[in-house]
Amino acid sequence: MTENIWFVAAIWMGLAFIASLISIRVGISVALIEIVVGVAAGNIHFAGGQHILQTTDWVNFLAMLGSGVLTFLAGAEIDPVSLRANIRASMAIGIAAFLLPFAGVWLFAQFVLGWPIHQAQIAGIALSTTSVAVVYAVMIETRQSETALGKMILAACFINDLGTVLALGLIFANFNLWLLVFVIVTCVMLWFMPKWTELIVVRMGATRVSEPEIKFIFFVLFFLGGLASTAKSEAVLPAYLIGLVVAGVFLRDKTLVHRMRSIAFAVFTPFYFIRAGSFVSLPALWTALGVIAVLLALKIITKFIGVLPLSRMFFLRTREANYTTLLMSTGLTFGTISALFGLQNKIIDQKQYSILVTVVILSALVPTFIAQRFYEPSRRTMVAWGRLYQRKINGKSTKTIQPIGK
Amino acid sequence: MFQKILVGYDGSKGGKAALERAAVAAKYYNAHLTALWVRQPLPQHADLPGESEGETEAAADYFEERKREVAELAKQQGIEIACESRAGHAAKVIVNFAKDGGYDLIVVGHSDHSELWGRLLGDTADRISDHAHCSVLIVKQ
Repeated sequence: MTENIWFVAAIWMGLAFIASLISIRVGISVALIEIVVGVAAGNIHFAGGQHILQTTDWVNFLAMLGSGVLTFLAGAEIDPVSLRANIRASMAIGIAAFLLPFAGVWLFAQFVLGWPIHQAQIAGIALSTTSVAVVYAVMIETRQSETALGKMILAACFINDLGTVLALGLIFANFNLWLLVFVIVTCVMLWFMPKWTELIVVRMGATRVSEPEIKFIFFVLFFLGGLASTAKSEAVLPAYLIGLVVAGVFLRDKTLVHRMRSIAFAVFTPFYFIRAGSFVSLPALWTALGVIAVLLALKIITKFIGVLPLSRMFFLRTREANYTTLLMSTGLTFGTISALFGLQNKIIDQKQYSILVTVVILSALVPTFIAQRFYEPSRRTMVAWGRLYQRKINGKSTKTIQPIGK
Repeated sequence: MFQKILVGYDGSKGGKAALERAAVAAKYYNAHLTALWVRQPLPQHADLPGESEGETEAAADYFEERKREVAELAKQQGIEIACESRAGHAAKVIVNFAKDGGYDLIVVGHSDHSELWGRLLGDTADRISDHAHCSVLIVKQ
């Protein structure tokens, strides 16, 4: 039964269906539930020691597409106008939110935990992330995402995750001719993609049942993914960058976004998240609870060191600065993608993977809980920050300005 | 006797029965009637791009449909029915909304849960009748 391709597919889709039902019932994101279902399924064996979940080449392929399309959609979520409006604050906070945890966790893993350099770098990358979607989910219910401060935080999250995908795509790449080809072709595609996508959408996309615009985007993602893997880079790097440059087109054409989401969330991403969870070893976790707690604390502390002073410099009051920092301490998708990259390329072992994924999952839960429970600012304050920021930036230098209310 | 009536309306069979009964009561008592749809909160820790946005859009579309149904019934009965939407736990939201708005009657539909389910978990109508500050009419289909 476990070798029959239909039964294997049925087990995976059955688990995805169960995850959806649980997600709707408990009101928690389906991505998180799929990982947890994957953890459970990955740790259950038949009597003969055989796993319930069969991982085949086609499962790996669908999971790979899941991470690629997920990254593309994450990149395409950005609103270019919002990014430009608060570019100085977003850039500074986003870069610090990536660099400090990346360097801090890397150094801690290498010199305190004694992990070899590449393993420590994977730890640094996996815990440097934030999550635009988690942050957006926190803010949308109270309509904070529409405020100037909300938009600045979301834009900073994009910059943070851009740092993560760049690090993942470049640190472990082979610096050879293939990397040069990959970089040149990617740059050319990034330049032309908005125009080409717009053209296809306008000329054919809106009315054709054969969905040429989606096929075109998949073609570009697969082709650049191929070049990236040939250069020993990561396919998520071009996917995120392509997403960023076509974000404007996606903002105008909501039908295209909905169709891509439907395809991705129904067919690809369940394979990715369940598979990512299935590699987590529960026995390995019991012996590493202390390390998990320390790494989670380190991720949050390094985010505070990087983000809090900059937030204050950009006129946020203590409450809003703490809120911003905690939201930027979240993470899920990019953290699991980074850890899975390390595991698949045999850079980290299963115990290290289990530790990193657990820390990543906890980082989706703990900082958001603290932020909402203790530091949630009023919508009025978040709107007022935008006026203050524009006034200060367009007027005096930032050096002489004190944060509002202080 | 009743001046302000609140009806919990979610588009279900029970909800429709409650809305119809509430409209008749509002017409009879010349009372102000509000239909309230309580939607589930958005998924927490949503990490899929567009997950929260998609859920919000779907909720908005669903609410528009409910508003159309309410408007149609209001037209049939020749009365005005206000429509509101809130997120949260259905019973808690309805009870608080009624209290804050000074409503003197809450009308809700009876759910189709089995007796076992009802005994184990209780249902929305039970909870509302337990905690409401005013009279509660539970409409059986």
